[in-house]
Amino acid sequence: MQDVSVQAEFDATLAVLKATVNWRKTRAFGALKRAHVGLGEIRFKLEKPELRRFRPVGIWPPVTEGEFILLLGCEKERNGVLIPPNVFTLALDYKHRWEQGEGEIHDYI
Amino acid sequence: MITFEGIWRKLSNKKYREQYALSLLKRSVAFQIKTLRKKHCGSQAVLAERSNVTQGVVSRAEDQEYGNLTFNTVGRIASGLDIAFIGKFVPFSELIKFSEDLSEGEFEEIPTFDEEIAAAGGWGDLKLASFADISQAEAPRQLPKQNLEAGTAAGFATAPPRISPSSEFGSLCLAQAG
Repeated sequence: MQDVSVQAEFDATLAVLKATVNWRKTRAFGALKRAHVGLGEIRFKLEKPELRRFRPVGIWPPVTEGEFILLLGCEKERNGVLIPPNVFTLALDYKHRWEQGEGEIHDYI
Repeated sequence: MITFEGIWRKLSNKKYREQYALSLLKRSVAFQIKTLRKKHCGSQAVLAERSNVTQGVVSRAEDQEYGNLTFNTVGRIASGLDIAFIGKFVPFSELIKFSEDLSEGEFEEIPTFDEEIAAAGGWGDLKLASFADISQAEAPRQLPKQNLEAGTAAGFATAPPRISPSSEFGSLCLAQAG
């Protein structure tokens, strides 16, 4: 479970993303390319007490219009190292399994 | 399911509500500026010129992660858009409602000063409407007597209805449940 400050920053990021029509034109979201096509990441950071950057990953483009399915949480360290390091491989695997009918949505905003 | 009630529960943690309110403030102001700029000015350069700031300032103002906007900058941008900006302290129940209702459409509908005057049919009609409101309004009970005249003259003849946070929370919960 993440620190409450991270949760709050994430919830506020989602509140504004939810209100945004075109996610491609906001810095709070990025569609992944090349080997990671099919995924998108939400981008937010916390500056205090120390800089921490987060990149939760989900299915992009949406399966259903207007619906972004979040698969995994991810933190990006200053040197670019991702936690977990295999986040995109895992996310692609989850996406594939989701498309096969596995898994279920347990939070809906 | 993350609902009004779910966020309300999280807000019981002081650290959470402090961060949520701060983050929503910086993100929603940037979001509003970008939405209004696209509707009324098109490019950042146009808004920058109208606001008498550089394009870099507009770009930073639209950056949801920036968070260091000054009142002065927001005021200049509001002036460039010809729309008023008000900072307002509210209870947390209102903050949740604000975040739930947030949409581009909500801000795209805000008219500039000239659009507002045009929609009202010009200055004449606005004056007539104001005088009619004042003459029919009931004197506010909570204002001290000596302030009544000033309040009426300024168009604040009636106080807005107050809804207590608890009753608003209750009615919102019902809406969720229904």
